[in-house]
Amino acid sequence: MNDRERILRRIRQGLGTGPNLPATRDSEENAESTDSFEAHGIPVCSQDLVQEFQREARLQSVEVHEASDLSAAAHVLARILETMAAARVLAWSHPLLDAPDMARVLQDHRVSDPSPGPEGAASSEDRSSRTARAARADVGVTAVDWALADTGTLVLRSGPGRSRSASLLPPVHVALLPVSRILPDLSALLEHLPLDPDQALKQESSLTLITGTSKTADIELTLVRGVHGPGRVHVILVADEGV
Amino acid sequence: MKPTCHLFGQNSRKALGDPHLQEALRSVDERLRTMRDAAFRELPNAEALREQGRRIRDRALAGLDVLLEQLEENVTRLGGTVHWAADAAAARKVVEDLAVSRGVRTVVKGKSMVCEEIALNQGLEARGLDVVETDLGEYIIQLAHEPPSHLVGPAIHKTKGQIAELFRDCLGAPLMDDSEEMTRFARRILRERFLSADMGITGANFLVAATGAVVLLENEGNIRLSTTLPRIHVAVTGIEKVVPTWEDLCVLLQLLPRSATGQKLSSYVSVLLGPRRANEPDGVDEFHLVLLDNGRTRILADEALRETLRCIRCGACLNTCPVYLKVGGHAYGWVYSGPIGSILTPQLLQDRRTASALPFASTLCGACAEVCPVKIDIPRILTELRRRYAVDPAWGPAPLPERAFARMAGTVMADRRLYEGASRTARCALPLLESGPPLLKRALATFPPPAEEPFRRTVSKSPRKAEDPHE
Repeated sequence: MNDRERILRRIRQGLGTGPNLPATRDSEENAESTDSFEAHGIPVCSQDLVQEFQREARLQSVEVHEASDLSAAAHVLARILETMAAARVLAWSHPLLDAPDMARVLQDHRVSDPSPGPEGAASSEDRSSRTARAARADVGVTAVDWALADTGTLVLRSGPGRSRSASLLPPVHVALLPVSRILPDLSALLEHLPLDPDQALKQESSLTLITGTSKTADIELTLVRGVHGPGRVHVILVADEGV
Repeated sequence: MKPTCHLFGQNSRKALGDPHLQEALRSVDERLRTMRDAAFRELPNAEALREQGRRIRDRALAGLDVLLEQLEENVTRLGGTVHWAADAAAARKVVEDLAVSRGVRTVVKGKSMVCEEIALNQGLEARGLDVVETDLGEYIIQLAHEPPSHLVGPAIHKTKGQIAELFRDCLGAPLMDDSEEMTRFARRILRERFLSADMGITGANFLVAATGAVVLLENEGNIRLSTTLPRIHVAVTGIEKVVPTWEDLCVLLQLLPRSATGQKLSSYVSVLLGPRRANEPDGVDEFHLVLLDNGRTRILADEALRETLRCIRCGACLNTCPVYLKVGGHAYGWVYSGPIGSILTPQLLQDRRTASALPFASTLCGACAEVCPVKIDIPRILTELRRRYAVDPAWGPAPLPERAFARMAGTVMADRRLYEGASRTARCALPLLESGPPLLKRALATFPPPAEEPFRRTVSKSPRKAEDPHE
C-alpha cells in the first residue's frame, strides 16, 4: 500500500466514514455563511470606496497619486521616473500601459521584455539571463486588475505579458489603478474570480494580493521596509481609463 | 531536531536567567499582543468571524479525505504534482529525490514549521545541497544554528547586537548597529541566492480544495521570490491545511494576519495555481505539493483531541501566554512552542513520554483560548493530556510517588471533613517541621505558610455589602 492509500485509509478510519461520503454542511451553517456575505456586500458609493482605498493604502505607506485620465497618469509616471533617475523599467504589456502617452514614457526606459515568447518552456540559461535582466530594473510598472478598499490591497493576476517579477524584484513598484477597479473587500473579489478550476485561471499561474510594501520586523521587532520586495509602492489612480 | 521537551524545567530556568531573552519577550507582549488585540477590537463582528473560522476548520477536518482527493485532482489539473508522505522520512525522501533527480544545487527556502518538523534542511544538506533560509528571522537563526523560538518571529529571542555579531562572524560584515542597515545587508546577500537558486521550498498556509490553489502569506517577499524565480517550487505542508472553497479562504484570510501580527492583511498573499503557463513571462516550470501526515491522522482519530488540527499557526496563543512570555520558545524543546506546542508536541511525537512535561507548563488561565482565531479549547486539551499522562498506560504513567500523592489529594479534597481536618493539621504541623531535617526544610521553603485563619471563616465573618453589584 502506498502512502496515499495509507493516509486516506487512516483518515476514513479516524473519522468513521466511508470512502465517498460528501463533506456535508448543515443547513444552519449554509444560512450563516450566506448571511455574512450579504452583510459584506452592502453597496457602497464608489467615491467612498476610492477614499477608503486611499486612506488604507496610505496607512500601509503606499504613495497614492491621482490622475484624471491616462495622459495625466503618464505625466505622473514620468515624474516618478525622473525623480528617481530610473534608467531601467520592467513594465507589463497591458492595454493601459500600451496607450500612446504611457507607451511614450515607458519607451525611453523599458528593459527588454522578459517574456520567453509563445513557444513556451525556455532553457535554464534563458531563465537565469531573463531573471538577471529583470533584477537590474530600477522600477516595475504594472496595471492592477482589482483593488480592495477596506485593506488598501492591489490584486495582480499573472499572465501573458504580466510578469510576477515586475511587482517584486525592483526596489520600486508603480501600479496603475483605474478607480472602476476598486472593490469593497475580499468577499467582493470572489464574485470576480472564476471559481471553476476548469474554465478558470487557465491563463495564469498566480494571483497576488499586495498590501503595502515589503517589510520585516525580525530584528528586535523594528519595522524595516523593502527587505526582499519593493520598499516603495506608488499607486496612480486613474479616474477615467478610456483610451 | 531532537526533542528536549523533557528538560522543560531546566530549559525554563536557563531562560528566566537570560536578561536578553526577557527583554525580547517583554516586547512580544507589548507589541504583538497589543497589536493583535487592537486589530480585533476594530472588527465589528470579531466573535462571529472566529465562530465562522472554527466551523470552516471543523468542516474541513470532517471531510478531510474527500477534500484531499478533490485538491489532488485540481492541483494535477493545473499542472502540478501531488505527493503523499506518511511520515517525516517519507517527506524528506520525496523532496531529496526530486532535488537530486533534477540536478538541483541551490535551494531557497521560505519559513515553514512543517519543514522544521521533518528536519528537511539536514536531509537535503546530507545529500550535498546548499539550502538557504530566506525569511530574515530564519536566515539569522540558520546562521546561529538554532531552532526558531516563535511561530511568526523565529529570531525574536536574539538582540540586535547578537545579530550584528553573527553577521560579522559568519558573513564577514562590518559590525552594524542599525536594524535597517543590517536588513539591507541581508537583502543583498540573499538576492544573489534567489537569482541562482534551482529550487524553492515553502510551506503553505492554506490549500483550497475547490480550485487546487496553494495560498501563502508573508510580509517580506521572500516566499514570492522562492515561488517565482527558481525552476522548481515544492510546497511541503500538513494534510490538515486544506479548506473547501474560496469563501472559506476569505474568512481565514481575515483571521490569520490579524491574529499573527495585528495586520488586516499581510503584505503579500500569493495564490498559486500550478506552474508557469506556456505564454507567461515568469514563474516555475514544475510545481510539487507534498502532503504530510506524520501523526496528524492519529490526532484526527481521537475525538477528544481532534480540534488541535484546527490550528492555522498564527502564534496568537504564544503572544498572550504568561508562561511563554517568561520562558520563550526554546524551553519547549521542539519545533512548536507556547500553548499550541504544549498540546501539539505530545500528540505529534512518536515517543509521547518525552513531552509529558508540556501539558503541565501552563497555568490553565485560558488566555490562549480567548485569542485563538479558530477557538481551539486549549485549556481543555491541556487538562485532557494531563489526565492521560497521569492515568492512561498508553501515555504515561506518572511516577509512582506522584500517582500516590494525587490519589490521596483527590480523596481528601473530595471530602469536606477530611479537607478541613487536613488543613487544621497542616496549620499546626508545618511550623513544627521548620525545625526538622534540612531536606524537609528546603522542601518547605517553597511552600507558602498556611494562613492564620482559613479563608472560609474570614468570608463567613465579613459583613455583606448591600451595594455590591455581584450580590
